[in-house]
Amino acid sequence: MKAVHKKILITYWLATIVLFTVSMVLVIAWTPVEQTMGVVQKVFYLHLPVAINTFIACLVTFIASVGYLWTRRQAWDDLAVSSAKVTVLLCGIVLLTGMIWGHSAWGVWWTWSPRLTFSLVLWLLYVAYLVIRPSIESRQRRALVSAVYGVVAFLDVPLVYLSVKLMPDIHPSSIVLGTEMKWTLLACMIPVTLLSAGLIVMRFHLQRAESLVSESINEFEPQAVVRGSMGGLA
Amino acid sequence: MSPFTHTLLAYLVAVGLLWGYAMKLWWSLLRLNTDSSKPIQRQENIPS
Repeated sequence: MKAVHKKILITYWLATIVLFTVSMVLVIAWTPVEQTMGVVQKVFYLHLPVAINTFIACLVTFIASVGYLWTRRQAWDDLAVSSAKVTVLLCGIVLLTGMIWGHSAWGVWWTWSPRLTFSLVLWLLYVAYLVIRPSIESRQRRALVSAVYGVVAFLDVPLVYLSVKLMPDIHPSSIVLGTEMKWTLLACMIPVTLLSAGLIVMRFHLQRAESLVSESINEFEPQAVVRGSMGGLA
Repeated sequence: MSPFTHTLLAYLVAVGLLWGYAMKLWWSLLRLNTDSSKPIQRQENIPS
């Protein structure tokens, strides 16, 4: 890694850590406690930014899948799988924080409301994406199937977003926020977005390295077989 | 569980998972960079 890249990387992660710490301090010490829900409303400052970033990660998988179908370049498939992995993590956090909040607000851990159901379906879709991939041996075929799946799975994102607006739902559809609450939400949104983008980029670098190793093994293996058989004949 | 415990639990889960995964990826990248910067050792016992 070049020294310049290293400096940019360190600055990026330091900025993310500092902003994340500042946002947590704001949530704890500065933001007022909401009158109706009480202190548990503060879960919202992490729940919403992570939920928005889940949609962004799904969009990255969708764009990368379209990119693969268009160009058939392995790098697009690597990006799609990297963002799918981050989607599973982010969507899992959204579900868990939502469940914990729901237990306090509604008295139940889970209810089959449209928003919750479509969110669970979204998480399962991307888990299935990651589970199906290793079962396909051919690299090109795996990338092609994943790309088609990545495009289709994205259809659940508008369903998650619109479910609360179009169907009767226990999940809050809009919340009125005071000035401090809006600033805190923005302060949480920035580091969570930086963190999510950083996770996709880091996962992508690892995925590229894995793909390049697998490509070189595939290139090397037939030669090794030919050389081995010639050696045997000689 | 009190509302405070719920809030604390939610933050611990979210922050733990986000930064736990970030650290896992950092560690993997660090290992990748360290391994790839090592010179490849010649294996003398392979017949030519």
